[in-house]
Amino acid sequence: MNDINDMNETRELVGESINRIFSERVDRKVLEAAEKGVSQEGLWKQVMESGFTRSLVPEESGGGGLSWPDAYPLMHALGFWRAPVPLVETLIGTHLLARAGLPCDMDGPVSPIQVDERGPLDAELSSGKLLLSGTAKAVPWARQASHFVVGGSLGGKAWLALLDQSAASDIVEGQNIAFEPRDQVSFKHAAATAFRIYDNDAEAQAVRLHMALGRAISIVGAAQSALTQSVRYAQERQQFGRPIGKFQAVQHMLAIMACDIGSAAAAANAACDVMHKADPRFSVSVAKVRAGQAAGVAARNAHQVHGAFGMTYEHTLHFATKRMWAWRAEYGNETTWARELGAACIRRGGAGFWAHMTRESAAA
Amino acid sequence: MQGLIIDTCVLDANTEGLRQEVRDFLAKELPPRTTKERFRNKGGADAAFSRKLGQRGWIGMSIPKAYGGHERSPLERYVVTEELLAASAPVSAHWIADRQYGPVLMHYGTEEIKRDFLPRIARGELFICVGLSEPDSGSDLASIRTKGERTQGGWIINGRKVWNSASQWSHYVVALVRTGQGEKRQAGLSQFVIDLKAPGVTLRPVHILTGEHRWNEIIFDNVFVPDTHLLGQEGQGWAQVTTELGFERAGPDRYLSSLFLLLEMLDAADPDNPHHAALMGSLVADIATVRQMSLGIAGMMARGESAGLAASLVKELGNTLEQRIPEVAHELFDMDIATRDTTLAEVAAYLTQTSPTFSLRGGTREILRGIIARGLGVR
Repeated sequence: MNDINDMNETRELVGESINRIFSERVDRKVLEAAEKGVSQEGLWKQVMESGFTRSLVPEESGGGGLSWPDAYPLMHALGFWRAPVPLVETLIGTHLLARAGLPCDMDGPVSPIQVDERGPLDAELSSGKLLLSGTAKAVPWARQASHFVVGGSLGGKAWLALLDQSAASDIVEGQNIAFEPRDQVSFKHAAATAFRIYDNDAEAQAVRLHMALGRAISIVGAAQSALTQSVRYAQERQQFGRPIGKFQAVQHMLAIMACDIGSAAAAANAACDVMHKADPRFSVSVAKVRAGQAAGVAARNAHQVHGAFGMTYEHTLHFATKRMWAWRAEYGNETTWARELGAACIRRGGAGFWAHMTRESAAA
Repeated sequence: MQGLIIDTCVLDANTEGLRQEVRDFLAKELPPRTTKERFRNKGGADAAFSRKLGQRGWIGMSIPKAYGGHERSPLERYVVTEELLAASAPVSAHWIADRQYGPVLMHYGTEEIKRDFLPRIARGELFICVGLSEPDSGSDLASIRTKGERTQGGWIINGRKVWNSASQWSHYVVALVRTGQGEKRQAGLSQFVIDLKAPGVTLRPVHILTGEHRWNEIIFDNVFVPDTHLLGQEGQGWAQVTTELGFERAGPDRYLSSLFLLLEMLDAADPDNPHHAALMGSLVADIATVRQMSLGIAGMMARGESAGLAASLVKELGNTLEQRIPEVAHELFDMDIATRDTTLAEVAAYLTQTSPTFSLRGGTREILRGIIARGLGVR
């Protein structure tokens, strides 16, 4: 959120700091080790010590007290450097706990799980306890998590629960296509350490909504890495006696990528600007739709520019493109979010659309 | 990759308040029009409505008060213009004078021209059109052949300008003219403010494929232009035009051309049809995002930053969206284009036919992609 007279200094400082850490620490050796399943505890420790893991928790609750716009560079840098740490999950997990008034002073990692009527977990209230049962698949970083943050709704009332990792009866390790930890977690009548039940179901999808924006922001970062690598390659790779970047067909592929990335970045930033509002669904939907579409375009064009070299494991391009493909599919793909957004706008009708759109994107 | 990312801009309560003022004004003052008139390019031309906007202080908003303007911020101007376009208000008549020639004359005009023109622009009385393209010079603008030769007290202009929308009701054209030769083709170009009623100026109507009289060819046959109407410096026309195109590329008029159709589509679509919902949601995501980018550029201008590369992004994305809307309408709705018996069919048919121009005007898509590629460091 940059208003005219106040270019945001906090955001710049956060960006400089996290980019310094990742640029110094995340190299191809680290990425390859992470893909082989070696957890990067040294890197995580450094991120933790920098104080960024609870940036989205208010200061009075012991957090960094950053707004979403100020925390944007953290999730963006994670994508740009493809840092193999559960920073986005922990930022959002602790943020959701703080919003619900639950304990949020853990160092993490915190692993988020969304529950709805289709599953994957069943929740029941029994003598003042919230009990969870069932098996959740593809839970990010569960094996390393100190806690789970689980959200859902019961009888029209949203709930958010905090569970210790030990509450899980079983954790089976798995990976997404970028070899990021996505584990299968089982609970058998596991009691929440703490939980909050809301009066209505407005917060029922809070985990999914917040993680969707987190992924959208990281996609922008990863796509910018893919674009940077593509531009460099187009300047260096010679064919027909000149750099391939001299060919208009290649220039246009890069320009199209730039447009999509610029637009995904604008949508993600615009969503951050309204995250303090009661219902930011419109802007978050827009952000995940744009990021998901941009991910496809950017990955396709980056690979086309790189030719067969970009397909090799030896090249670093795939660390970005695999994440873009993985992340666009997590917490709702672009079609799912577009359908929700579209159905809501169709129900509202044409006459009220413009006023609705301008109101949704206004900060107040 | 500098300039690729546009900082979002959050409007303050005063500016959002101005939005409501514009809406209240339009609710009262919008002249009654047929649907057909409303979905024309920028709501069509209506000189009386332009004067009303001028009286309200919503034309020439950025011009200093000393020259009849209102010294409002680019963000205030942004809000006013987007509200006018969203309501399909008839703003074609004064649009180009307000969008680019107010600021351009303010920057490059002689004192005499500023005193003469700017107050009339701000009152919504003086309309100006663009004089860049020629029959043999489109994307390769530096190849223009319209010539200016010195004479006693001024210049003699000979040549032709084409694709001039708004020229049929404009009072002046700002023409890019070759006045000399330099080492580079971009040198030796100058801009003149030329009276369309001057002896030797002829307008030949050009009808577009719908049959509509949209453009004119402007023919200059030994037209005398006084020295005071040379805009900026002799030989500096190329740099001036580059600045001018910056104003032309990122505003709300670059993505709202098909809004009227989008609203009709929202009324016609079925929310329970997943295909309808997904495609409409995708269009909504696009329009909300391009708007944020366009607004972000107004924010950059308000901070005095240059928006060159970012403006090209907005134009490219905006045009792509404007052109996609009629295509999606065709895909989703089995419309009767022959009888055009619904507003939806009528406006979809019209935009299907006119939308190719969206990625031509103000710089073709291919030229813009080249500009973006250069900004990225290739080319």
